[in-house]
Amino acid sequence: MQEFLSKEQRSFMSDTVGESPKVEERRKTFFEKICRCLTVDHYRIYFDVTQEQVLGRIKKSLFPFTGQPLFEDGKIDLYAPFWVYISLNICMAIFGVLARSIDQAFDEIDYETSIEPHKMAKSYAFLLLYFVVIPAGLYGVLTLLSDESPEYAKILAVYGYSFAIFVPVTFTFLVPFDTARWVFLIVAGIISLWILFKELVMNGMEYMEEYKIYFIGGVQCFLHVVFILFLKYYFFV
Amino acid sequence: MTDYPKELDQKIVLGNTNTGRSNPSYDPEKGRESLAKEEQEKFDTLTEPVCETIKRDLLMIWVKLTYVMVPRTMIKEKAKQLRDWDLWGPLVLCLLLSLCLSFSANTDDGTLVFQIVFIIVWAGAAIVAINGQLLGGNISFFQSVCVLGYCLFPLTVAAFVNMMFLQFVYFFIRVIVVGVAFIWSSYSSVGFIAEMVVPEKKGLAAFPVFLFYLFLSWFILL
Repeated sequence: MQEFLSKEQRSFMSDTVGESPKVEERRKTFFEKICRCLTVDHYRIYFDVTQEQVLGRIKKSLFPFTGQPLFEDGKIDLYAPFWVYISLNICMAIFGVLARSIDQAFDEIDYETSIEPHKMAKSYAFLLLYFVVIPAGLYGVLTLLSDESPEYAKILAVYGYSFAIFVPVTFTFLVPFDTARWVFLIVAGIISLWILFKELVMNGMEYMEEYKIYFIGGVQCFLHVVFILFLKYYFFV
Repeated sequence: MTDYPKELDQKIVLGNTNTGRSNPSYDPEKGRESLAKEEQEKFDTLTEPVCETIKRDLLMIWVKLTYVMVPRTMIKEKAKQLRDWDLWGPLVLCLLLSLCLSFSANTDDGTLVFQIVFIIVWAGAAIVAINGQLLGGNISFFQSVCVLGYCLFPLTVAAFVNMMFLQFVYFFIRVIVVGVAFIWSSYSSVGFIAEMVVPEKKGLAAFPVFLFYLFLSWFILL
């Protein structure tokens, strides 16, 4: 085809054919020249999902006992984990205040019933620990303890989806009974741990020795207990 | 002008080769000069009176606000206007909203509430824009800030009404006022943002916008 085109027309058919390296270099943005990981394009592969896929994965993370893997096609996404993080923060702020208002009506005690900005800032930092830092720690431990480990993006995605159950649990804090709130929190903790176990252990760590898996599992259970206690005694009074 | 590569000069000379149309007699040097002159005349506002400049900017803000206030305007019309983005309107609305909420808050937390609302508006708009780009959409950061900022208008009005008249009224009435403002803001902005991505991802682009206005609505209520 190209032999039928004039020299000028050939240079228009493709952005790269006939282009000098200097022009190609100039077209790269500043961030692209430093490192591709500073550009939006680098992360697009983790957001290449449709709304049906995301809804399907959220449903599986709310009820993970069907036996189906979370990422059926093997393609992980970070859209839902990121927005679960933001949604959980917002729900903790809103329903924390509402729960205190309900407790005030039932217990006839004066609680703080306006938004507490300092608690909101702390919730963002606290949840960042669970959504980013602890997965990084787990990735480091798995890399040290074995030759094969799931990639960091997969661990991030699985953690994000495992905490999705806590978003509807924050709604249940409108129920004015303390026992009911504890039951919902414990059930959510079990579901979250089951998702981590199913996705990371059953589908990724089967090559590891049992005692290592038990050790990592024990640490994860402890971290989830800390999370539930913080949720109950700090953010929801 | 001499920095442009030769290939671009050839494009101006030969025109759009894909359609076969071309204008070989078009002189690239003359073309660039006349284009530069037109652009200069368009932006040469140094000699006009200050009140003229302010009047023009206020009119531009008002026109964009009318597109937000009447969401039934055709999406394409709205898109055309809002693509010509500006940040004056979003800045004014964000400042008004932050001031209203800081006056309504306790005296100890007033400054903190102002800071939080201000940061949330700008950071939230940035996150929505990045989210749209990550989903493969054709949305620029400033367009997103412009759309979300102008669509704050109903919530700003609700915050003002809440501060002036509804402080000691039943909570239920305040919920209705803020709820209407929230639905109005979301409806105005979601259509524009969702148009920027493919149909299979519209919900994914619209959800953050919904969350953004929900959070601000709760801030106004509480």
